[in-house]
Amino acid sequence: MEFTNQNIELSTLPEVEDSDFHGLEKDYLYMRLTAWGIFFFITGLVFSIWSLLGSFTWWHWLAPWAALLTFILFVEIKGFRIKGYSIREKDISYKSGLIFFSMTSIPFNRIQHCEVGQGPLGRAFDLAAVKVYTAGGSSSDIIIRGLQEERAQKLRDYITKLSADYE
Amino acid sequence: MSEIDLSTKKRQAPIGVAILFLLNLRKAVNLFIPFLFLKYGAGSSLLGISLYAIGIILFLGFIAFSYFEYKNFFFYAVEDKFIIERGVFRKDKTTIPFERIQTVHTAQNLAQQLFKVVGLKIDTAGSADNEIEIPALDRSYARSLQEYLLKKKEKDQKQQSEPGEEETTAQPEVESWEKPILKLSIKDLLKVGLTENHLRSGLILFAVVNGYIWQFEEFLLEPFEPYLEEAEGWLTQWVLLLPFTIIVFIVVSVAFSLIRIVLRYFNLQFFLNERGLVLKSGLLKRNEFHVPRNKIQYFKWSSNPLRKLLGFKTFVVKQAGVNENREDKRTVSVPGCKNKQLIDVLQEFYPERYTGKFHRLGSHKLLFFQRFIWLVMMPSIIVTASFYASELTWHYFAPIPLFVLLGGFWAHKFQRSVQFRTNGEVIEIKKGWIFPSHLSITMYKLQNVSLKRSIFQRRRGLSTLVFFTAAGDESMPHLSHNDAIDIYNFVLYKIESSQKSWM
Repeated sequence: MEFTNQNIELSTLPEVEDSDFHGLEKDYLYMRLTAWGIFFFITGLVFSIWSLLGSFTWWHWLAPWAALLTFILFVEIKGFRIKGYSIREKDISYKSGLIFFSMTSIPFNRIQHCEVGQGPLGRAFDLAAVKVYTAGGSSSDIIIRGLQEERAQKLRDYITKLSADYE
Repeated sequence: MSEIDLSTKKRQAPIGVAILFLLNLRKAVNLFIPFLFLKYGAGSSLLGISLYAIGIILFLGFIAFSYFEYKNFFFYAVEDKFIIERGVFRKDKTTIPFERIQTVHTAQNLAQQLFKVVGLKIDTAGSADNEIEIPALDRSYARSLQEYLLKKKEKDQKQQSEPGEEETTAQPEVESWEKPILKLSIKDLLKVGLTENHLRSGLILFAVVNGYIWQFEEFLLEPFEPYLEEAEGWLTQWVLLLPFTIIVFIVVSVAFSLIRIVLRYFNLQFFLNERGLVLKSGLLKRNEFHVPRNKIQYFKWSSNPLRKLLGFKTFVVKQAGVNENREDKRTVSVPGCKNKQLIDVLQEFYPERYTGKFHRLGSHKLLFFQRFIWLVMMPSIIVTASFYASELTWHYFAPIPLFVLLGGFWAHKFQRSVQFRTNGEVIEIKKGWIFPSHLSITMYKLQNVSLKRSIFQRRRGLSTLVFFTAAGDESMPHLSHNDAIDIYNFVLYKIESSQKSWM
């Protein structure tokens, strides 16, 4: 496709390329797997007790439970490599999603504010999330989870400084 | 315009007591209804107190409440902030820095018209519920206050952007002008009312009535009880009743749309001025919207089959802060616009739209398959299966193939109607066959972009683009991936290189 009325060539425009993206901390994958582990452990335990009491046939829940477990392991491990963020001179991008891929870029001159958040599991793994907000409503925001806390703080300060230049 | 003084606490016009009382009346009635039920529905003695006594107590209570509400309602200014205090039991204090005021508009509902006062609504930047109303002010006072707040706001915003310069370079007086775009005559108003989407009006009415009416379920069903008991053959009765029901539904829906349109758009005046865009309309409740130039984010216009015949379009101005895609009281929509009026507005605010050539891109066939499978095939299969399960005769199955055929045709037409086009400055998306809608955004008004790609799209080399603005987001489904990437990069470049402010 061409934009012939422009005095710039499309091919000369900077592209958001895969190679620019940084992956997330490996610990973030382990954190997610831990969260899922807790979920599967608890559901497994509840169903087991149920079955031991004799009111639930084992394979009735064990088959879908195991299938879901395998599926989630697959999506998490395979999908982890897709998650990543990229910071260029004038914008920040985040991508994720194995089955439903999504990539969002926010120019620094449109950032409303930026903050660091950390949940209880995140604290245990020393991981934090950087949240970048625009005026475009919640679906347009970027949340980069799975950064070392110190790095997240630095990133936040960096983004805040860059976006402040535009105000 | 007389200068007004807000250094001391001000109250509303004294007649405000009456306005507040009327505003509270609904609450009072809602409180009263349960007693009615207890008395007549449940046959309770209400502890021996008569219904009249309860009514009078509630009435007096609410008069007193309204009086104190009036007494405790203050507005004043401290330094660079506008402050509103209110509340009887729980006191609220709302502080609005002048610079955060978005728009100030006045409105008059029936009660306010009756008592010759106006309500002043102040809109602030931020989420949707940040609207504050001063319900009862003298008309002239409201005007001055509106003027005062807007002036303060402009001054404060100026100071923020260029500190130190404000005194020397006195605000360059923008020449005031006014360009009328549209005045809806009674005839056109009726046309708009008659060509409204009656099905929607009917459903809205149905939802409202339905929600309210079942509070009185017991009373309503009582006269029908004997018929309902002979439930046998109710289906045939229902089928006999159906044409009658449909006619009633149509008549009521048309009447309801007409009333709604007349109430909302009576004596509609739509014009542009140096500040932006103004819309005045309404019969019992007159609304006045002033949308400042920079608050406009994008434009959207739509039509329906009947209105297409008349060349009418409904023009919607999407403004920052009115973020919800659902119908909002503050949505500025102008029905009965012709093409010429549309172009007048777009030329004024989006001159970029009239430069260069547009490049068009369609949406892939995948859109057809998705619509067809989810909206046509799935319901058909479910209905067929349930008919089969209840062993109905073949008559019942007969309309299903027809539905599939029509549905398929619709899905096809819909897919073909989806179109993206850009001239490098403006993005436009067209969608819809029966209810076509069209939108136009200049790229510097965009906040950011997003590219979505499911595994189904990946296999066919497609992507969906989502454009975010401060007034909601819009998407273009199933573009070829390479085009989508080009547009993505280009839009980012445009946002990043633009010096113009999105607000």
